[in-house]
Amino acid sequence: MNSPPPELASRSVMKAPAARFWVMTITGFVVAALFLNFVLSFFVAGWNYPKTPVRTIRQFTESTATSHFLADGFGTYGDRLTGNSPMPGAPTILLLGDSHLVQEAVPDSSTMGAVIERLSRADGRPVNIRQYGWYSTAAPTYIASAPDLLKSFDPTLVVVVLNSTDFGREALTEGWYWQMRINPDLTFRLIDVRIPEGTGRLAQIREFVGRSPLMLSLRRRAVLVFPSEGETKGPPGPDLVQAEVPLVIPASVRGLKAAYGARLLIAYTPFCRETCDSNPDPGEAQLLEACRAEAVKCVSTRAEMVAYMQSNRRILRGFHNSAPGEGHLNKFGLQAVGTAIWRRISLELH
Amino acid sequence: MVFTSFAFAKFLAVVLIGLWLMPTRALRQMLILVASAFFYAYWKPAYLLLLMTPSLIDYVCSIRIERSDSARVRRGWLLFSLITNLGLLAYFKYTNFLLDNVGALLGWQVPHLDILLPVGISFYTFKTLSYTIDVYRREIPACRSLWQYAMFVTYFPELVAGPIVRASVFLPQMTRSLRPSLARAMVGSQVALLGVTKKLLIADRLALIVDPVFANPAYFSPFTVSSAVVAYSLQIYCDFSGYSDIAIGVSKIIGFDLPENFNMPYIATSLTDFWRRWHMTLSGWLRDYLYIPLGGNRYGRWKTYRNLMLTMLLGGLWHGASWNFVFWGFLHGTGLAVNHWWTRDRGSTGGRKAVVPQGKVVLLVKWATTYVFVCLAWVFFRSRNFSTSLLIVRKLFWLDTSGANFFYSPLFMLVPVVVIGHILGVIAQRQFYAPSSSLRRCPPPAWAIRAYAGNGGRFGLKPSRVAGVYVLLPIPGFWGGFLLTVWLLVVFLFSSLKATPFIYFQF
Repeated sequence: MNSPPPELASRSVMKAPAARFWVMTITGFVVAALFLNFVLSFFVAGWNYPKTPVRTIRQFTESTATSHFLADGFGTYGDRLTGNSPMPGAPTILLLGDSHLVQEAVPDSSTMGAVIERLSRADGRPVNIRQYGWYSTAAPTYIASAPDLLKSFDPTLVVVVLNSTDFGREALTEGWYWQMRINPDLTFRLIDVRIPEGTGRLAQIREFVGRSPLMLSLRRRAVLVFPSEGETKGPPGPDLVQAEVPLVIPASVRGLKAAYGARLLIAYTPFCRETCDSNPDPGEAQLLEACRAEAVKCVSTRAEMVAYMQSNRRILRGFHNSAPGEGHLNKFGLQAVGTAIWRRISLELH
Repeated sequence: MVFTSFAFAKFLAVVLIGLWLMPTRALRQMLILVASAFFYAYWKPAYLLLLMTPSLIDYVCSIRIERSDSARVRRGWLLFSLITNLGLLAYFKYTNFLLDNVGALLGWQVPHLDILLPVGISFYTFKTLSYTIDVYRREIPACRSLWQYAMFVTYFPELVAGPIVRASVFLPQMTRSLRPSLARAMVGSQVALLGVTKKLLIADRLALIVDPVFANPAYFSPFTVSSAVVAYSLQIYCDFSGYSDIAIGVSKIIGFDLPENFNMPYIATSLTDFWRRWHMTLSGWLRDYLYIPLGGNRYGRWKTYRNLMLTMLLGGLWHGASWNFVFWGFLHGTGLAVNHWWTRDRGSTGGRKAVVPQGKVVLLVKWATTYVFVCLAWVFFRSRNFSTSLLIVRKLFWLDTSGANFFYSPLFMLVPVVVIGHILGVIAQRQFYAPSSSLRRCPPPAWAIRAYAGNGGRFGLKPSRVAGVYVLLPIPGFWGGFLLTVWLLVVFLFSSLKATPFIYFQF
């Protein structure tokens, strides 16, 4: 194949293009956007649309999973469905937590609640799980939600799943939904930092964006690429709260106990990355100590996670399209944590 | 200021607007000089002096060298320039390495000096060295304009990680207007966007598997470690060639044409071929200023092997002060010597050359052997120490089967992207240049050629004189608009959020 003379080859770039070429170019932009919108519809779906009782979320940031939620007003999106049919007459157990309970990155059947339901049914002591996750939150949100949750579901047990991010400023000044200020005597006040549901024009725009997989993807991405203070943090936190950080664990345990009483079980999930230490981390040790002091049922899922990693040669965090050991619990992590929680729950169910 | 940051985008916009507004070429050159100084000082202002001092010395030395007819005087000025440049490089880059090794030899605990390696010192040192040597060899005239020379040394697009531009290429372009034009901007922005894509979409994505596995290979299974090694081979290529593309693209917008730095190195069918395609400006520099002065291949086979080995050992050391880099150079030196023996010396008696087998299968075997060897050498290049390298090699050969399995899907999606990119590149080169022998033996598929050049020219991805070997989208036009939109959105939506610095910044 002969090469074209450089002058001819470069002419298409150098000469001023006709107007109709620009019209064709803009047509190309539009067709490309429509094309991508169609392709992304297989991987992206937003919570706001369509407004059916069961909402579907699809995302590709961590894995490429489809998740379903029953929009009942609790949690960021609602009750994370397990894919199992509820067992009539079986006790209800609530699982509460942060984004680890939202579990957008795994299918319904791999969620922590689904694991517990399967294990309970295999054990002949079936339970029904309702699991609620709130993004970027900590104990204050679970405490504030307690009256409505208990009134709505009258659960046999309430399992609050905590991790090390719940033990710092997320509870005080950086968490979404609810925060707390703690006094030296461990009394505290809750602060409502929930952003009201948009109404009017803003709500219409959000709903419109939610209908288009491409626009929704761009919005989700923009939030990650250009995080604004308002979207990542609550009100600016003065350094005054530094003195309150060591009080977060005992105050959280005390507050959760006051909110849920004898039905409370706190489950601690350590951040096991590529490997997992058998020894408790400082926050974990402090939590277990606070639980003993307040006579609250507590379990660490560490031993189960370490054993699972060693016997199955699996990493419990990270997905096929994210870094190993980073991010949320994957299906193996949820299996290990669910198993550990079920073992502890089963002791409470007679 | 990283090329893929918003800070750089703003900086570049200001520079381009400034260049467009400046009424004369001299003012534009001044603006580029000031912008380059700001660009470097943005990282650490004090090191701007470090950059300017040897530049000034080389400027003076080169004029003295040119003016003098005495070989002794000329050699003296050259030596002064070499000692200054190499001395600074040695101090900043190799002092602690030397102290470590002396301490280890003598059994002493030698404290580290608190030395911060100036960004790009290896690159601009080689650039200025080549200038002085070229003037000494009377291959180029000495630059009489101090600010033009300073602009050559500090030119911001290629200051910190190349391509290593020689004065003979750069200085003659000073006569250009340097006023951005739409035609050059359309080409340059596409080339720069290609570089951004390589960096953000491929290299940074692959870093997500490479970094944890190379940090703790013991935790991962042989499959995962093998995936990470392949991922690293693509990461370093896309990271470095991405940087070069951005430098070349930005320069095209400004008005300079920088030399190509990569030419699809992973289609190489021998190690010699690989080094003609990988970091071409460095390999060209090592060839012209080290290998050939050492004697090249002119004094028999054993001296050729010695010269190859010395060149690659120093090339390895140039990358960093670590025995891992030296060993990487040793592996490549050995590989090149073996390659030389296999293709030229093996069985050659009485002037009869060795018979090298031909054919597609042989070509495939040669390609696979080259790629596997290069990947094995990358293990030593990337690992933080020798014991980690050996552990990775053990995992690669399934001698250690412990560790967790982790499947990283982007690797398996990005490999086809890179392969398609290479196919387009091969086709573009066949259009623009006479095909090399290896390309002739392994032509791209007919459908790819049809898609490239066919369809009545409507879907022609045309190389141009301005673009050089780069394949450009047919803009304006429907397909150009369509592909550009898809390209931009895919980069925005799927790039890694974890920004990693360019790998070659550390050198």
